[in-house]
Amino acid sequence: MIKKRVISVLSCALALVAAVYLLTLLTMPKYISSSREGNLISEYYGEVDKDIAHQVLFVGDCEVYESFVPANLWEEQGITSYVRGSPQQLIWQSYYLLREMLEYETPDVVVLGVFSMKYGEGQSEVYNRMTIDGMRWSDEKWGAVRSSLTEGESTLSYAIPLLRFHSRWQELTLEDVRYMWRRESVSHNGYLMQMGVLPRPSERVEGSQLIDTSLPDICFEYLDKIRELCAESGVTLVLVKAPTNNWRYWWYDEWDEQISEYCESYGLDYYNLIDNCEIGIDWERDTYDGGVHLNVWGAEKTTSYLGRLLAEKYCLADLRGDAQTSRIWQEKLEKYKEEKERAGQNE
Amino acid sequence: MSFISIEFVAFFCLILVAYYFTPPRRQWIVLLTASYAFYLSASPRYLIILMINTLSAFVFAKIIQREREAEKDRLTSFEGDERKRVKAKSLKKRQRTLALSLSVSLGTLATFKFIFPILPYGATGILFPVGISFYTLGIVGYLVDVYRGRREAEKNIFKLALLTSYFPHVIQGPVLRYSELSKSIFSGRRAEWDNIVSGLLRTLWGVFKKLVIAETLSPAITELSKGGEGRGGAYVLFLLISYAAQIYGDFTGGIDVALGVSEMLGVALPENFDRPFSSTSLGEYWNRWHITLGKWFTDYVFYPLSLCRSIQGLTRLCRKHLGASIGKRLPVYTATLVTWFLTGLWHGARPHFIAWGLVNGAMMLISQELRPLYKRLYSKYPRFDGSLAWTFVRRVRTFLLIGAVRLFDVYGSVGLTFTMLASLFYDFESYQSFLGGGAFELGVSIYEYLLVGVAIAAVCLVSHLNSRSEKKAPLRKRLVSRPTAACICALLLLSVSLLFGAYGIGYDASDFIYGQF
Repeated sequence: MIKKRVISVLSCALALVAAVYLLTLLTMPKYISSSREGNLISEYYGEVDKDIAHQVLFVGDCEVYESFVPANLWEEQGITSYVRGSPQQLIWQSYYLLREMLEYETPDVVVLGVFSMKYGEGQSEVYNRMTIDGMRWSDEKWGAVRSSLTEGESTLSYAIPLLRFHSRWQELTLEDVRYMWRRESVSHNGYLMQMGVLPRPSERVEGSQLIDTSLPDICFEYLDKIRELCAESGVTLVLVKAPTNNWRYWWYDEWDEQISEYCESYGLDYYNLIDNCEIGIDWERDTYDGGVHLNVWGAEKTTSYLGRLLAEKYCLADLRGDAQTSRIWQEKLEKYKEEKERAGQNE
Repeated sequence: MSFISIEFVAFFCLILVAYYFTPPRRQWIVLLTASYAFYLSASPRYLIILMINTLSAFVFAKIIQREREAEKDRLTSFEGDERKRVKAKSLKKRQRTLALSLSVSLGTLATFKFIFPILPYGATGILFPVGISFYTLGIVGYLVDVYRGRREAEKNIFKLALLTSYFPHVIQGPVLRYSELSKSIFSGRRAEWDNIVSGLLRTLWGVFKKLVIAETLSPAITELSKGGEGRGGAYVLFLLISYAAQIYGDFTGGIDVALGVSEMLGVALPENFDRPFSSTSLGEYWNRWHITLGKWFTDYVFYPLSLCRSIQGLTRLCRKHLGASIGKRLPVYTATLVTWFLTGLWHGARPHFIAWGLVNGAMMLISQELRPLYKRLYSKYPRFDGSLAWTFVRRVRTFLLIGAVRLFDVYGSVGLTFTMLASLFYDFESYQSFLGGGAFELGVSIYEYLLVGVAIAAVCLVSHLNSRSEKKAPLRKRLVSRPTAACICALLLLSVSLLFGAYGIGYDASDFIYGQF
């Protein structure tokens, strides 16, 4: 009898783990037909699993994954790169993501988007989930969870996402079943293609006056950590502000000065690309949401500019001559072009 | 720390292991430590109040008992009138001590329940100590039992501390009688498969009822409880029914967790519910719903009140001047109304609670007065009595009457309750709007209503199966002898609660409705 009881309890425990695992896979958002950006973080592991290394890693929020096109960087400069960004990715999330990436590879340059420096605390549970749920379990994920929790969120729900997403049982579709075990790639090495065009408002509207002009201290603490991490790994850190032109998401001069001062004091390079005429952004054509983010044409222009800079200033090797790398990246480039063409036809 | 939290699961697992690895004679010490830790996590600022109440009960019970023993000793040396005088003197002393002890416990309760809430700004921030309503009733019962000589005063203050603070009952009951609890809580026991499995199944069943029924309906009830225009008529009827389901899921679910957890520790707690919605009369309903509270008020308020000298004197006076019939009814009626008034007051010092108590009391009396009428009906139409259809009608009637009175609690206002109830009979447009899809605009989707429907059907089925096996054991007890079936049931309950339960962001599944009392 005791043996039977022990077997029953153990089987029950195993079945419970299996049930929770399956239900988690079923209920977690798949981010395929909508909110595709929710898939960006996990797509990086596709590269890791294939042992593909990169010369440049871009890290940051939506501005980063909408402004830099790895395929374009390869085509023009022969530089391999990956964009690890997610919506409203906070600076500490960028830190943990970068720490995780540096466990897998050592790039020559890390390009960090600075827009999220304005956020001193977790902003949205939805964005937290999009960023953190995609990470594999590691110390870095644990750190990202602990530093990001907003009110009402629990650490446990990141370990067992079923506790958060169980309420989706009412909205489950075939897509949730189809993508339980696999995902289709939605990005091109982390770049999320946007083909729409929505010009910025004709009058440039100034943002409301800042009451507190200082960027949060905690952001600088994490910037310090990122800087130290790069220094320890022998990676060049470059800070960048992607081109944007929308009063709701204004990048204030006061913020820019603080970033510039920081970079100056630590000998880092910082490029504010907002008003950079060399890029040639046309705000009537190169944005898909009124100047908040760039569309594919704006992103290609920005990438071309930054690519030249990276190649010249940081002496990144042109790998187009390397047969194996070339084969992989030509494939990526073709895929990128195909989607661009397909999307262009649909527009 | 709420029963429905991962912290509690971890806490309880730790306690369970510590409890069964401790020699049986010392197991109660583990429970005391656990109970104080639990109380500390739930209401840290008010642990001191629990301790003061316990200390006061310990000291006063000792004094009462010592006086009783001293009386016995003294009586041996006196006879006749002197003996009576000594007895009366001792009784008076005991009465004074009891009154003093009760004023400490009930005074503390009254201060937090009735005085602080009405104080102006500044004192309103004082939180209501968790479980004070429940442990106060337990302490009062203990003191009265010692006074009546029904039980010995507890010799060990730490043992009394465990009785007052035993963690499974501290959130929302059941109301404990320490004489009953002492039997199982201090006896100590070894880990038994039957207790653990049966307790686990009961706990999971409680979680299922709380999360799948009560919490799922919560948004609709919150919305409807605001009352007002567009929420009358059909919506009131819907609220009446859905609130019955919600409070059933919430309260019985919480009690199932408390009793299940205690069962896993081998400590039997009294049942608090017995298929209340199968009641065919109000009296029967109140014997089946919140049984421990009803019994407590019957034993410690209703009977003493009915038999007290002033009521007896009033009875004699009424018999003399108003006739035997009124004279016979008066003590019972007075005691009934006072008991219900106090029951209402125990829930809170707000007019709607008092109205709830008084209306319940009045309905009980009316129902008693109507008995002869029903008797005549049954003697004229004997086939009526006990027929399925008539039983069904009586059940529906009882359900609706109880549901209507419960609306005092939902609306939280006497005036609004009467207004909304009246709208049942004139707001006919609401029926059209409700049937046109109004129910789905209350924050609960059609799928959730279906889910609740299925869950209620499951509860009815289990309740039916349990009722059919009264002489045997409840379903969960029968499952323990089949380990595989028990494990499958546990797994199913947990999976269903995890997937379909309403918890997490946007819900407050950790709170129980009766926790506020």
